[in-house]
Amino acid sequence: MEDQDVFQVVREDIKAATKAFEENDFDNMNIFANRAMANAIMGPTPKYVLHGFFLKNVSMIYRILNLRKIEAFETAKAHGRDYIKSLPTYRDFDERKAWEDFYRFNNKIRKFMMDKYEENTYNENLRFSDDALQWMMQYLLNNDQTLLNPNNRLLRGLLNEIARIFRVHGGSLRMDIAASLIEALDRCYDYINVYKESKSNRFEEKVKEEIIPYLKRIANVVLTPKSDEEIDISAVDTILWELVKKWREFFIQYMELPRAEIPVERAVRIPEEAKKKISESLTKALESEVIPEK
Amino acid sequence: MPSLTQLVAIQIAKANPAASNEDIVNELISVIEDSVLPNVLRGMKPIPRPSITQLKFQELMMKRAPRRRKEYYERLHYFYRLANQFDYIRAQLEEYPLSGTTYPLEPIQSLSKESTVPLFLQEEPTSQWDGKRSESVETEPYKPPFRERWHYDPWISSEERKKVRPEQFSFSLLGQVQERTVSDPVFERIVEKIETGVRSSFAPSKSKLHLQMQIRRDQEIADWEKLIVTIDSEETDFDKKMDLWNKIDAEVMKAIGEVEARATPDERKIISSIKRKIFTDMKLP
Repeated sequence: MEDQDVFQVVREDIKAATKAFEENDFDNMNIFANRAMANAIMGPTPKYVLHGFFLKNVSMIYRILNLRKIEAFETAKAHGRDYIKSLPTYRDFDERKAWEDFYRFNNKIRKFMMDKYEENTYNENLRFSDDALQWMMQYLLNNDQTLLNPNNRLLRGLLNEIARIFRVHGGSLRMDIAASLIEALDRCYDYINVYKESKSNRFEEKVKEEIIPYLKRIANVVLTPKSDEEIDISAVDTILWELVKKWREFFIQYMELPRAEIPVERAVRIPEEAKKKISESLTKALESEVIPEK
Repeated sequence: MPSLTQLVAIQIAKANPAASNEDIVNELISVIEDSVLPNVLRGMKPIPRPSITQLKFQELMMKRAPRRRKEYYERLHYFYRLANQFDYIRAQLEEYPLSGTTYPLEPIQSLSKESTVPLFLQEEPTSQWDGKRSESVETEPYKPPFRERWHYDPWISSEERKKVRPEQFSFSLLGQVQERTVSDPVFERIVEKIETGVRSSFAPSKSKLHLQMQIRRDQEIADWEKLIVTIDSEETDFDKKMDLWNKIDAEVMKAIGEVEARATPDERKIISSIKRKIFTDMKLP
């Protein structure tokens, strides 16, 4: 497939995602972002996957902020709008700058993700964040066999820790990259769960083949460089592209995975007058000790 | 013959002899609110109702209607409010968590003589609003009498209406305010505080309120720059409108004061310059 054709459709996906963003339609924005990734993997250029991947993250952030009904939503949205505007719309873009812009956006938006207790308590502590990232990556490598247990949540658990630390203490570009790559890996891992039910028990085999080799690659690309400037961005993009490719191919094969949802029940308050009437009726019944007929 | 709810209450009382009647009643009401009503409301089809255009048309028709139709109008008015409330609760069920919050569930009132609420009515023999079926008004969908005669579709489809969120309050940052918010941290803090303040104070209000922040410049005077918070309220009473303006103005100044209180000396200089430039402006008809 021609490179320019791929980028042309990715550009249209960005446009659609931007419109959905403006309308606060973050579910559709997520769909357009997925579409941008699915289109990018059909071409040969790894870095074209970045737009969709970043937009998906943006849509998830604003979906959460919208659901939480934060009071400074429009102020937070100003940052999202500015970031989306900065997404490169020409083919020969600088992939390092694209990552740096994404990192800067994440760094700006993190204060809006904090709750009021976090906001007033925690300070930026980049040294702690960097040490914590090293610890977590090492922990992931040391516990790679946990991934063979079909019930583990190791990748999700690590992502949870990285996101928390980044949110309250800030983080580096490499932390953002680590989180992005682990997130993409986790999406593939989600799909590998479908092999749990196969008679030949291919789950272990698939994890060893498709997931575990990436742990070392991600650790290498994130931990080896001494500073953010030394990170090999094209190696990052290649890993991301491979993972997104796997993930979108899994999607083609298995479509959306059924996810366990925690039901959040929303109550409907009965008006006081009606409540009074129900109370009176029930109290009357209880006081008169009406015995149900058998 | 006791009702089903009464029977349930009695059974609970028997199983929990130590519980007081009040505890049982309160608990049952909580179960109805938390588990029964949301499911019942979700299962109900949205109540059809006319579009705004049709309502306006019927309001105009009403002005020429004979007095004997008054009772009839009241019934329609009741139904219109009921449909509004149903939509509102459904929208909240689908979009917002309601627990711990209150929503403006007003008692459905009869139509007053002064009311300007748009009414919809054109009596004709085939209408279900001919009085014969008025008992089933809450359960049967309203059919528009003249639906076939309109050149446009006066109906908002139920599916479409389900998606509409009752946005009464909006706050937006226009043009250069947006740009400055992302590039100037002090300005951002001020905008954030203003948005937080006005949203927490005025968003729960039942009437529509739109606030826009924008920078105005004069092409001929290079230094002339004003930061304007434009207030657009649907409030029709002039005194109330002025009162609202004062309150929003106070809220804006309070927000800036709060940022200033925590600012460094250098930041204070920027804040003072913003204070000199900021104004609130009420849109008047």
